[in-house]
Amino acid sequence: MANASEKPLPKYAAPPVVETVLGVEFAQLEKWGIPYFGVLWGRIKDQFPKFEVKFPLASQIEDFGKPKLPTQTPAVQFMTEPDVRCWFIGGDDRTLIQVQRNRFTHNWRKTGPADAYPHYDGSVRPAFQRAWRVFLDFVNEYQLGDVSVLQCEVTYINHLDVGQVLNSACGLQEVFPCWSGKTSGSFLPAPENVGFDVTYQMPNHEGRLRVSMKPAIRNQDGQEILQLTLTARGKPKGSDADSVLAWLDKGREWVVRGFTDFTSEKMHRLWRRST
Amino acid sequence: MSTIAALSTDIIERDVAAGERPLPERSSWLRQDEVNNQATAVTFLQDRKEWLLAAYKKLSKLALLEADWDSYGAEAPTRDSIDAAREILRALADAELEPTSVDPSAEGGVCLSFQRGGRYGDIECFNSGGILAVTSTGPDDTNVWEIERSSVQLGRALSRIRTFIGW
Repeated sequence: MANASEKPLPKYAAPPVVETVLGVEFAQLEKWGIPYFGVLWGRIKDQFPKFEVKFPLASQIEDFGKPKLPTQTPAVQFMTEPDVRCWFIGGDDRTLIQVQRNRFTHNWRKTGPADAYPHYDGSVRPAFQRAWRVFLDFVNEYQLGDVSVLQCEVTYINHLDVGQVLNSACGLQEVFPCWSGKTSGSFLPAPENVGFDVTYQMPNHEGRLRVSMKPAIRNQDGQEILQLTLTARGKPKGSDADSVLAWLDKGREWVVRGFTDFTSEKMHRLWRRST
Repeated sequence: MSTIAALSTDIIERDVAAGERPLPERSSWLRQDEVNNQATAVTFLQDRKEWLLAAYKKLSKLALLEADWDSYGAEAPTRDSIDAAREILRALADAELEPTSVDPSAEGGVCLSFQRGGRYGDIECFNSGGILAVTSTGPDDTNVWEIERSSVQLGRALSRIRTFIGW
């Protein structure tokens, strides 16, 4: 990892990324209530004309202390109204904003084979920046409280079509160098399914990179895939927009370099790596 | 007024008749968009099930059907009816209950059917949003009931069909 930041970021002409998520988790806005979802939507409806209501996501703050034993806490909470998360979806279905009392997320997703990844600097980052600005202005205008940022998140979701992977590589070990597929004896047959969950700490407790690989079926076309998800989470230096963006840049660097390290050169050629 | 919300999602109403095999709890039915901020819809494969893969591929083909696919004026299945069928397939996979076939419904929607000997069962997801479950041994012995799109009602229907079919 030494001096990695000085090397140019790897670039791919045909990366397998199907979704990017740039998000912020902040301290609960106590004055936020359900009507504000509608008021906010009114402000962004031109760009995000559709909405869906979802369950709220639980807090996922990265902890760098000693591992904690699970404790028996009562799974009951007093609330004045139901807690929800709203998706505000762009007219082309490719972009969406997710808002809940303590989260803001901007997603880009691929909607069909012809959709190309729009790239971070040119599209994904500016789109987040614009939407985050609108959200901050909204919270400020309605005096809903200070947005005290607890954590930023960058997630890239990649779909590796199983058929394509098997055509390009002889087995999973030729896709993911960390996987050997070997056993110490001869009892076990070849594995039926393989999945990974691997975490890496960023230096100085700046954050953590989580790499997850899970076999799945893509609902849209029934295609059997390996979903490779890289999520970088960590706390920015401050709650201001510049600090948030600076951390997102750092997280994205970890995701891109992590993706490259985690996958094989054979696959990099398939994805047309240029740097 | 305060309400108390139970945060544990594993609490599920149990109402399984004697002799019926209970279904797994809903925790394994959660969709990816209920547990994380991913917006691309996928179904994670806990165990590789060839029939589930085939059923999903069949659903994606049904999504391409056009109106009058049967030349008798049937509606093509809508995205909603296909999504509902996909949700039920996930529950079937958790319940180890493999449908005999996945077909478009002549009444507009998707039909998941089960057959063993002279016993037949199905779940039909209609374009209207309604879901019907059926058990039958023939025209004189047919039971049809409506089910809501909830894990509890779906669980009951699957238990009833499984018991009826004898799986």
